[in-house]
Amino acid sequence: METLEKTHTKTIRRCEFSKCDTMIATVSFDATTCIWDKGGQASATDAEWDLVVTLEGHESEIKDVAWSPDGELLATCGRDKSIWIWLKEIDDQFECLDVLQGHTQDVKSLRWVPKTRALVSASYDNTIKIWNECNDEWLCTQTLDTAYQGHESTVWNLACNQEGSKLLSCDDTGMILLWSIETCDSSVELKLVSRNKVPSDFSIYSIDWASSGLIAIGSADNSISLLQLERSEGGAAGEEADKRGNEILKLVKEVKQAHAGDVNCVRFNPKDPNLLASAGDDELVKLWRINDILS
Amino acid sequence: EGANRGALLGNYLGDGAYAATLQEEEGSDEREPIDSIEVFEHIRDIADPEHPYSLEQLGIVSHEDIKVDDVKGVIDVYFTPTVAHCSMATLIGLCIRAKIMRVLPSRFKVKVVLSKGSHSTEEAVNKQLNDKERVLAALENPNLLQLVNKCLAPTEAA
Repeated sequence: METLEKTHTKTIRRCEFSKCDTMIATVSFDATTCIWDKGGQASATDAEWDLVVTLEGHESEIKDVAWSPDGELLATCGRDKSIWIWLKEIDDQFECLDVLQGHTQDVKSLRWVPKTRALVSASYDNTIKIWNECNDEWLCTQTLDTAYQGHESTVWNLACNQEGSKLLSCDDTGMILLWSIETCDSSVELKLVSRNKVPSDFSIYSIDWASSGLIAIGSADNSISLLQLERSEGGAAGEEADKRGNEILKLVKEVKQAHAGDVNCVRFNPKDPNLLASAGDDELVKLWRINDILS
Repeated sequence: EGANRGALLGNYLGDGAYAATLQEEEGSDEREPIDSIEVFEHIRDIADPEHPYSLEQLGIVSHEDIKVDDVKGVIDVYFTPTVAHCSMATLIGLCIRAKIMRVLPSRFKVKVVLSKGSHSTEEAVNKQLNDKERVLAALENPNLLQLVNKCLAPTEAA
């Protein structure tokens, strides 16, 4: 075990392994992004992580970071309402390709759509925005607000399924929206499938989708819940609804008091969907075996 | 299993943090119930940012407008600014929240909101006051923190 320390001066809001597992990006309320490298010893378990570069540019708290599916790009977002796209160059340097403006408030989180260069962002301004790439520039092609039956409160987090055909978004009032990801003229578009409410009215801060299909949420009521998609019976029939699957979320299991404080983050192990990690305001990181939760 | 957990926690948080966790677990039986009167006692003397009076004296807070469910661990504080366009509403709410965060156990989920219809930008103020990241960022800002501490000073004198 190794501690990466003495670099960030404020809360670290998120960290993510690169696609090849040789790098970690960490973002902080101190307005910087740090890139850590395993020093070329990808297979060695006792390899030391070195800070290779600190990316500056955001004006204030950075809230999320995500590596693109092809591993070439890094996206960061924050309270300054902007999203920055960084290109990883050969010598561990990063070049800023684009700064995306459009949200009117803090950008709380972002995710790349699997197998594409399209980005989805979620904000305190209650909207979700889709950004499609065109010659190293990202254009906002869709803003999902209440006119699209979108969220009516802060959108905290997003999760895509492995296939990249569906996206989930969770908000401050405990709503989870299911969207289908569709491609139209090589541009990614979202369409609402269903609006889902979990039993609690507390904020849902985090959502993740395992390769097994299981969904995990972490909430301000200290709980972690496991959910899955289910075809709804009845409801709005018709060709359009049929095509999108007409699916809703069903609660599989709730772990009450999973932490002694808000659950800020839940993430499945990408290689082992039976393993879930959670982080809470109780300053603990917990590892869960899904089998144990379900039994 | 306890020792393993201790070692694990020690690695994550340092041994001091593990000792603190243990102490908390041991002391958890002696939990004292908290009611709205106690919450009111903590916030009544907060100074108004603009006037030489306390929030109680100006009628901004009252114990009837504090709802506490000790079993569920929920505290809802409703406050009423003196005028509907009060530019200090967010700062007053932030002071109430900061005071509660400092003195009451962290097991409580706290909501600080304007009384219904009491402010022209009620929704925006409530949203800001109940976004934990906005609140923490505000309290990390040295200028804002100084203002908050000044308003809270009378509550610490007694």
